[in-house]
Amino acid sequence: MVHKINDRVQIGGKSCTIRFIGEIPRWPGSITFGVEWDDSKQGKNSGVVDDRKYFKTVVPNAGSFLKDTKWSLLLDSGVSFYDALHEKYGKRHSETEDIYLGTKRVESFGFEKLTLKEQNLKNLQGICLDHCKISRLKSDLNRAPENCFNIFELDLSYNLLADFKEICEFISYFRNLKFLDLSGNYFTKGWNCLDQYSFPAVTVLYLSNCRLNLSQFEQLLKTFPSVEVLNVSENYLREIDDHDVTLPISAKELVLSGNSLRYLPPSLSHWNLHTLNLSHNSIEAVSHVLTSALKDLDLSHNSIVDWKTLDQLNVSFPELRSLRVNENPFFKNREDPLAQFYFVIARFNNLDVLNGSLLSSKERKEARLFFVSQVSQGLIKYDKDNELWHRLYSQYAPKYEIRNDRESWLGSQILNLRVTQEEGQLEMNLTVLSSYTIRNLKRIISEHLGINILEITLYYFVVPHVLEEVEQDFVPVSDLNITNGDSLYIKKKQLEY
Amino acid sequence: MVRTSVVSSLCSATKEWDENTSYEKLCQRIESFTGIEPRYMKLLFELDDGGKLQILRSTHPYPFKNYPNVSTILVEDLNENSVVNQLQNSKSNESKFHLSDEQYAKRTDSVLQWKMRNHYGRFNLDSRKLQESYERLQQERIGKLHIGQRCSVESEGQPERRGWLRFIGTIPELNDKDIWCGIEFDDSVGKNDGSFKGCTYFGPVKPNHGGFVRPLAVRTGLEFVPMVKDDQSDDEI
Amino acid sequence: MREVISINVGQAGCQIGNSCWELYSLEHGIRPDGYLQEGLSKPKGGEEGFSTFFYETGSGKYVPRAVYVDLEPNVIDEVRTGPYKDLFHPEQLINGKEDAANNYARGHYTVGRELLDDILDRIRKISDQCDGLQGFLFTHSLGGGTGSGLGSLLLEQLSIDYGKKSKLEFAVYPAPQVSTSVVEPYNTVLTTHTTLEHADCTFMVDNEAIYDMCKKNLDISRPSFANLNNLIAQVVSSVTASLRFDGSLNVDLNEFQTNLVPYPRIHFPLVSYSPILSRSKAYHEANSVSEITNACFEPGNQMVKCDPRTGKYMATCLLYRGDVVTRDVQNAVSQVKNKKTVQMVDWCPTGFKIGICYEPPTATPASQLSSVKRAVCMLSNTTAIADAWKRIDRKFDLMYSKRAFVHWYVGEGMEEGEFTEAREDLAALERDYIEVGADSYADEEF
Repeated sequence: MVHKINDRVQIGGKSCTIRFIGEIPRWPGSITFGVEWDDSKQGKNSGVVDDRKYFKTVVPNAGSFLKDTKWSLLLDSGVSFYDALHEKYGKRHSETEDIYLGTKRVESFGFEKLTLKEQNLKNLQGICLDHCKISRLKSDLNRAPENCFNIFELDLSYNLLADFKEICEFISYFRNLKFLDLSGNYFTKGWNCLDQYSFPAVTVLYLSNCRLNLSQFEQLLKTFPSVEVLNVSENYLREIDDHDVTLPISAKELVLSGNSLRYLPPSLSHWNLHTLNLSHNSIEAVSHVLTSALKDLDLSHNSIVDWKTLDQLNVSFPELRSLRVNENPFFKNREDPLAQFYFVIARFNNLDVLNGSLLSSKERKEARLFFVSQVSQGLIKYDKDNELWHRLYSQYAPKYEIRNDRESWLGSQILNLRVTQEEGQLEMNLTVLSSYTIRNLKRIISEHLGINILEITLYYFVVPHVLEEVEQDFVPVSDLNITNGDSLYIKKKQLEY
Repeated sequence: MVRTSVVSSLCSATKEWDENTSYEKLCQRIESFTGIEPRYMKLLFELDDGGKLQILRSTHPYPFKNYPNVSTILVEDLNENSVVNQLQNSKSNESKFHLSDEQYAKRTDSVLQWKMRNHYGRFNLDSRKLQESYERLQQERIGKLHIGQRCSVESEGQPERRGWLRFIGTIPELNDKDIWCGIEFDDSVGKNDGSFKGCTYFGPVKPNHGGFVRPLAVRTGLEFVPMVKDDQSDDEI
Repeated sequence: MREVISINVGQAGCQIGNSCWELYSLEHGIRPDGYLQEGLSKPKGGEEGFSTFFYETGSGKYVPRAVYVDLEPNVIDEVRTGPYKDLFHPEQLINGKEDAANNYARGHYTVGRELLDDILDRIRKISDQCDGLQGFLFTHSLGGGTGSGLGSLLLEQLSIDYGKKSKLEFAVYPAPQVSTSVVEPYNTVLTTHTTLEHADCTFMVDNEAIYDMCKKNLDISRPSFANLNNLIAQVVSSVTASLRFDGSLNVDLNEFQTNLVPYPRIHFPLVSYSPILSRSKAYHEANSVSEITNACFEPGNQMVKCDPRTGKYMATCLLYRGDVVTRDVQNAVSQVKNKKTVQMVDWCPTGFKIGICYEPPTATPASQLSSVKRAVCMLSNTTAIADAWKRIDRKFDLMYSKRAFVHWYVGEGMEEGEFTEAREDLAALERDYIEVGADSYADEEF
């Protein structure tokens, strides 16, 4: 087989793209391959050897040069779709070797039946050929794949497919295909002249980790005009954060995680999505978009630093029911995780799920109350000039109307405490309500330190330098003689079973 | 119905209450899972607006009528000598139940009896003899092994592996009779770093570079040099 | 036909039951009102498998073969008014007025016994609709009064009424650190003693282990009970998948015993499940056959906290679901053999078995689990699970040495001798596990 630049192959079982074929001065008389590994950790350089540049890798340091003595032994240019199909589903496995654990033979049940069932490819409704090093569909195109009308699910992820037009031609035979997974293939060619192809039957499309750029993404949207669920995570779609992109009206769910986005896509207002996953990006701030269709948003593992961004999100997505914002810098600034959790809940109109936790109405209520008290006291910054705040305040503040000055009463409920661990190894600042029990306080501390609540012994200063152990677990913090700004001291004890 | 958490020193639970529950009934039910006697019970209601107050029979005969917005009931045991307070302070290794060997041997439905009836394990004479002769072979092999020397390990179903013999001896965590050889492999082909159940027998070496095998799988000798790896050529830059 | 009747007892049992039936319905294409989902002409999973858990009424509605039992009304009232209220027939939901007050004796002897005839009657009605009843599947807690007391009473009675029909349990083990009542250790020891000879196979679930999985694997920083129950349901579903779908191993209830239980007393297999992946994580993460198989041998994927590396395996069943072929499984098991310490008890009559169910798992939207093409559930009878008994026995001793709260039980007509009898039985069980692990002829590498 003759190899060309941009061919997708495996060398020693590792997938790569051929980026250079020729002679280099170091190995005269030898045909050298320059490759870019899919797994960049395999690489040794970026396409430069002995101060000469032969190619440039997409990912820095993902390239290697291989002498013919090496690649000729290890090169595998992949198999055809049919070979992979028959290898997986069409083969008998009766002569597999027995495995023993000690003196026990490992016995398998039902695989023979499965093999027989699948051998008759007519029975297949889904074909799942991921990680099968398929590089060719074409040789089989002379005739339609048998019974391909039955197939509604086709998984060709993590293969060596490179020509997108070839894919389109191939799946034209699968008239009832609903689910298509092409993740982990790098389509280096075949992006032109695709207008003749359209697959309105396909509703679920996965193209994660395909090195797609924005124009390829837009081409996809034309080729799959009825897609409902679209996963394009781990691609090169950063520009979607400042370009207008039209999504089919059918699209309900979009996964854009791991695309280095810095902002929310500006076209979001025009999309009809109810679920959007933007996790593992670099989103710091939120641009002005507005859609009431969106119910489920994942912004975990981003770079949001400012709590104000959350308020902007609530304005942008008034109907949001499920939100993930864990693993963002703003979350880590504060030390009390429960308080943070509560503040996020309270800043949204009506969340049912936050960071995966299913919320009860009681939790929402407590969160809002705590939030109202903290904001009233000015302990956290919050721009009160919005509809949500007026609603919250009118709902939760009147409970204290009997008091003369409700804001100062709310304030007296708040204690800012400093907690020190043995020998001053660790210090943290906590903000708690004075009505919290000691147990609750310990729980907050234990969560912060990641140790068992029962391991904590808590002390406070009765007079300067005189420590007294807090023995009661279920009295409120206010029962201790401590005031705002005081210090607490904790020791860790060994638990006995 | 009022749903609250109830928290005491030994437990914490979520409970539902009828609004007409009397003070006495409330205490009774709380006793049933906290173990605190009603007459020594101090009840604190934590309300959902953050307020907190003590509940008394005299002033609150039907506590939930006054406070339907209670979110947590905190229960304290005022009796210092109560069982609950004693339990909280006792050590777990006091008064451990002990079943003697004789008592266990007498039980007819035990695994011991089952093994004896079916001649399993050590109650199987043939396998015991077989094992004894096998153990003799293991012992003989130990005589030919030298700690610190290069070695080769060949066990069933695995390609040959090489490394250094680092340890010969028993592993008490396992049993106190079998002798094991600890090997530091040249490559990551072992299962640990030279330690087992927290006890280090040699090394510690790099993770998965250590392993323990029976003596018969090991041979020592200078000829067992490190095996050449396939990808150690300089044909890739 | 080979029908299975599910019996959910007590608060925890009923709530886990809810999550399970929600998932079963979804997996078989049944709507919350009991009718088929749009576009389906018959339930998913094939007549044979589907009918083990559901029956069809004249009107084309499908009804779970299940009863819910609780001594107090609250939890069952939630079923009656919840989204799945129309799925059940009112007769399947049974509750009393007065709760068991966390007391085994109340669940077993007094309050529970009053309800017994009624419950057995309803179970009889459901079993009359079966052509070939295989047995019963219990979900209950070991620590609560109803779950432990009434649960064990029902198991005893079913042994009398239905002879040797199989009885499997999913039992919630008291969490090691936080208890919901002081007498959990008593209830657990008492119920375990009573059911030891009646249950054929018991799968324990420890809420703390589940909690950790929600945190670590599902990226849920503050898991709620609903989160925990959804994950437990996923595990229960994969254990029962081979009964409900066209599976190959443990297709009959009694096979669980044959394959996993070498001796009737040693019937507490450890359950592990993989993959547990968050919906928000990357789609292809850790999902190959060898990756999910390997994960089952990691403590982080176990339903009970214990360390199998310190124990020996009497039996193991690897139950795969979804897209899996022989070659991949063979490779995965060889890798486990080479990389992990898996010591089998060589003289035990049970062994290492692998089965497959072709239907991939389904994930309910609320579960936060990502939908996957394949999954594996490992059931392993390992001596390491004795740790769980040791922990609870120590707590029992601590309380019993002070005779703490014993009068509550005696007050309900229970004899004090039952405490010592039960404790001795559990001590013998600990010894049984030691005896199983003893004198195995170890020639493995570790």
